[in-house]
Order: sequence, then C-alpha cells, then structure tokens
Amino acid sequence: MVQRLWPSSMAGRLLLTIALALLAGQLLNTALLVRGQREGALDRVAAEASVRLIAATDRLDEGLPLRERLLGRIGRAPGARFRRTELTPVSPIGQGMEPMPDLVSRLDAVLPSYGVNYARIEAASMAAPQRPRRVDRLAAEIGGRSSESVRLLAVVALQRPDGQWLSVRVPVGEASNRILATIAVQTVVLYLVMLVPLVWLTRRIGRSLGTLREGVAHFERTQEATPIEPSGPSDLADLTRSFNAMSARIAALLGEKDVMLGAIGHDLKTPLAALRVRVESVPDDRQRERMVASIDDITRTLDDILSLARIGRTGDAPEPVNLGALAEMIVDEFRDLGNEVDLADCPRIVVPLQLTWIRRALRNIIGNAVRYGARARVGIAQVPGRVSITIDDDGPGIPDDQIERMFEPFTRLEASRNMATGGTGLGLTLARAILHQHGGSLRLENRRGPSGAVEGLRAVLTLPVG
Amino acid sequence: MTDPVHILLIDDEPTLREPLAEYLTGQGFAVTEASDAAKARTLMRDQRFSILLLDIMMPGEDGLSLCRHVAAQSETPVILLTAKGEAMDRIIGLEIGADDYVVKPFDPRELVARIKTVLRRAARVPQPAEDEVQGFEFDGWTLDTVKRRLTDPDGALVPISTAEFKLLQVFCEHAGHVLNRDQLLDLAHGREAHLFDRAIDNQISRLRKKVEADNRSPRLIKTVWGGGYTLAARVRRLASQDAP
Repeated sequence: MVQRLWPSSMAGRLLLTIALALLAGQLLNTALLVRGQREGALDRVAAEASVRLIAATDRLDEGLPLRERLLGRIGRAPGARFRRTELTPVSPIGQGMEPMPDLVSRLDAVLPSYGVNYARIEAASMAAPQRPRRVDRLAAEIGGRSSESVRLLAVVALQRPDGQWLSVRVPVGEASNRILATIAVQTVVLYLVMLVPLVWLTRRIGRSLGTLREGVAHFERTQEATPIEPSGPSDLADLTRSFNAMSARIAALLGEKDVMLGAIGHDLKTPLAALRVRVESVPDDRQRERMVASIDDITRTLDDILSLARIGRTGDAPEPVNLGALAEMIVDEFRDLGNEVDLADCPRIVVPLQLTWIRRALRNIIGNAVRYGARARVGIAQVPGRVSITIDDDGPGIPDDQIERMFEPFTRLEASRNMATGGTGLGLTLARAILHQHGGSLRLENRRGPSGAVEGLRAVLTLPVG
Repeated sequence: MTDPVHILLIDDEPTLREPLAEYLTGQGFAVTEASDAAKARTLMRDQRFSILLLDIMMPGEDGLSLCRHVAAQSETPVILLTAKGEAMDRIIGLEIGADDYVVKPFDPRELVARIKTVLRRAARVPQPAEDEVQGFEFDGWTLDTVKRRLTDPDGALVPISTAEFKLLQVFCEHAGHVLNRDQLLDLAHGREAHLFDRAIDNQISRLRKKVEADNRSPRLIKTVWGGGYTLAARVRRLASQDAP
C-alpha cells in the first residue's frame, strides 16, 4: 500500500517529500499558535481577575460595600453582562465545573504582593448562561454589535481571612476559528508558491536525466560513442561529461580491439595460406592430408576466436529470415556430408535476425549433435513472443553438473573424446553469445526416458519474434 | 595449343606470393608477381593479363581500390584473396567489380578451379550486357545476384545453398526454356563438376520445398516429361537502379 502510493520517479518523490514536510511544519505552526492564543487568553483572564479581586479586597478592607463599576473600557467590552463580583459564605465553585490550576498559579504569583490576604483560592470554568435569542437579538440591535461569543466563564474564588468567599466571574475569550482558516490559506499559498518552481526544476532535472539515460541505452545498444549535450544542474552536467568521456574511451578501446583482431587475423591467415600452398608439394598423400587437417583446425579456431570477439560489432542490421528454410538448408548440408538429421515439418516462421550469425550457431549445435549424439532431430515451434528450435540427439548426454561449464570457452567434457572428434571448444560459447546478441537464449538439457535413464542431449534455442 | 593463361598475382607477402606463383606455374599458368598496387598498375600498362589474383589488405593502395580501377578500366577478371570471411567483405568484393574471392587460407586446387570458372565465364558471356543485371524477379520472388540471396514475396530472406542459388539463377536466365539435366549441370556447375543426374533432381526438390506453396504440385519449377525442367513464371531482370 505504502509502496503503491510512493511515487517511483525522482520528481514525484521530491515533490511528495517536500509537500509532506511542509504539511508537518504547518501543523506544528498551528499547534504553537493555538497554544499561544490559549495562554494569552488565560493571561487576560488572570489580569482581569486579579485587578477586580484587588479592587474588591481594598473596598472590603476599607469597610465599603462591594460595587462593580461597569464603566470605561470594561463596561463596553464584550461579555460585560457576565461580570459579577460576589461575597458568599461558601465557595461558588461546585461540582461539574472544570478546575483551572493554571489560573490559580498565575493569581498566586500576583495577589499577595498587592496586599490581598486569603486562606484559599480556587478557580474553575463554567458555561456562560445563554440568554433567550430574542433578547440577544435586541441587545445586538441596540448595541450595534454582533452577538457575543462568550460561551465560557472563569470563576475565581478566594477565602478571605474572615472566612467569607470573594468571587469574580470573568468571560474567557475563545480561540477563534479564524486562525485555523488563516493557516489553511497560508499553507495552500505556500504550496502553490513552492510547487511551481519545484515542478519546473524537477522537470528540468528529469529531462537532463532522461537524455542521459537514453544516451546510455544507445551506447549499450550500438557501442558507438555519441556525445550527449550536458544540461541541467552542474552536478548532472558533470555526470554527463564524465559519461561522454567514458563512452568515448570504451568506443576507442573497442575500435582498437577490432583493428588489432583484424591485424591478427590477417597476419596469421597469410602465413597459414602460404603453408597451405606449400603443403601441396608434399608427395606423401597421408602426410599431406594430415597437414591439411591441422591447418583447417587452426583456421577454424582462429575464425571462432575472431568471431567471438566481433559479436555485436558487425554493422549488419537484422533482416526478416524464413527460419524454416534456414534450418532446412543447414540440415541439407549435414545430410550431404552423410549425417543422419531429421527435420520436422514447420509452418512458415519469419524472424528478424543476422543470417550469417544464426546460421553459424545452428551449424555449431547440429554439428555437436551429429558428432557426439550419432544423429540429430531438429524441430521448430512458435509460442507467443518467441520461437524455439529444439535439437535432440541420441548420445550419452552430459552430466547435469557439467552442463553450464560447457558454455565456457575451450571447455571439453572429456579430452579423449574431443581429440577424436575435433572441434575448437568454442562452438557452444559462440552459439550462446550469438543468441544472447539476438535477445534469445541457448540451453542444454539431458533427455530422459520413462525409466529416468538419459536418452540423449537436447539443445533449445529461443529467439524473440517481432 | 592456345596461349597459356597469364596470371598477375598481387600480394605484399612474399611468403605467400612466391609459393603460390610456383604452384600456379606448376599447374600450367604463366604467372607474373607484383608486391603492391603501384607495381601492378605499371605492369598492366605494358601487358595484357588473363586474370588478376589480388590480395585485399596491402600497404599503400589496397586491393579493393585497385579492383575498382581494374573493373572500370578493363575487362580483365579479378579474384580477390581475403583474410576475412565476413559477409560484408563478400558483398563489397563483388559489388566493386571482382568476379570471385577466396578466403585465406584456401585450398590451392579450389583456387585453380575458381580461376578456370571465372575465365570460362569471361570468355563466354558478353560482359557489358550481363553486368547490368543485378537480379531477377519472378512471381513476387527476388533473386539478388549481387548479394546472392533469395527474398520471398513478403520480403523475408529465404536461405538457400550455393548450388540451389546457381540452379535458380540458371532458371531465371533461361526463363520459359526447358532445360534437361545435362544442360542444368553444365550451366550451373560447369563441365568439370562431377555430379550425377540424381544430384540435380535432389537440388530441384530442395528448391521446390522453398519456393513452391505445395511441392507436390509445383507451380513455378515444372517438370517437363521426357525433357527436363522449366521455370514457368514471368521473369523480370533487375538493373542496378532497381535492385532491392
């Protein structure tokens, strides 16, 4: 679930991270503001309560009656009608009121220094008594004010030394919802202001990265160094420049390798050709034939090594080829040499491939089958997306733990067997490399009968179609 | 007795050039050696050669360049000697006017056979007319005689053996004519080929498998009772400008 919501692209991740961080910041900000507002309200309540308690205490101490002056600013302040100062024999704070210890501690810090003596002090909050709505409306019309928003009253009561309870009621200003709305708007504005340049920036970086990625893929495919124009932020541009330098160097190395292999091929084949001509003057037929066979062996090995090094470096583009006709042609070649090769009928399958290379891979594998497995059966089958060519033989197979090793260059299962039959030890290596180059695969497996005994080896070549 | 065939052998490597010249002389050819393209050009100004054997990779002017020059200036046939067996080289070699190529290291007897085949073709065929032909088209199929390949009506390559290719080429060149087995053997493989009539039947059967929709009732390569075979299709010759 989390993985599904988490975007995969860099731009998406960056944007989501920043949005989440911004949201967290704004939430913290809101919490702090609400808390600050609540503290401020408490401070105002404490200030009013202490002023009125000090004034009332002074009057009582001087023997004057309690009288609330509702003049001046306090008289006009919202909630004036809730203000009341009373002297009662018991504390007006009863059950069902919410104690306000913060207010008590604030008053405790102030009152004694103004000469107010008390035995106990209590504070609690209570709901403000609501007036009937009609009166409320009338009051609003007369006073020209909107209806007051006082819903909560703080009651502070202190027990004077004579045992009487002096209490004041103070309206508590409520945290307005306006602040939340302000913060919400602020957040949206911040998002918009930040998102626009961020989207622009991430798209720019994304574009640079995309160009680089395409360049890498192109190089991987063609092994040609095509420099990419550095773009985007400096570290990305540096990366692009480094990639350009690297691909140029790899291309140069590959080019050198080709030139070197070409030179080796030429330099070895010319003396081989000279040797091949001179061999004709050897009078002993058997000797001459053996020498010719040796020269042919060297030539084959040399060709295989050169081919292996050149795979993927030839410029031939894949062409649509009738695979059935190709298999038929190769099977005919082996039949002409006296080998027993069967080819199952197959529908017309056209596959884009490099003809000379695939022909070579098929020749190598069918050659192995007739060499080690006495006879070969070739079948072609098409499944969605790919075509597979199966070559079965009736030979002894290969021990299962040795199969993978057969694809390594110059690997021979048994030296003795291979000596007698020839072969360069590169045939399978080359065939697999050719199929990989085509996006296909080559695997070997032992064919087992119902009793589990090995009946022969099976080679399966697969090639992608279309 | 006609004049001996005079070969100009051009290769920078004396280790190959000298024994090869010796061998070819032993086979009854007159051989002149040249160690590079410049010497070969000088020699060709003064003498006429029956055929050139030309190494591709040489210091200075390479074999391909000299081959192009020779093909443009004269009708002397050229056989290229190449160290590489890659398809690209074959195509380039034949497209720039070489008549054939052998890949090093070659069987010298094979080389002699190629020399004789090329000389026979050069003597028989009126060069200019034949040079124009780049391939044939019949019933949607294309036989490209430069790149030596067969393409089916849907544009897919149909790999065929050299023998089948030559046979099909002969059919295209003699479209509508009935060719008996002897004529087919002669035209496709030359007089020296030690092939039997059965071999031709076998090749025809393989060719039919590839080009016929139903090879039990062939529509293109028809058997003529008592006579031989014929290609029963309209054949169009492709010149260089409309080659595929």
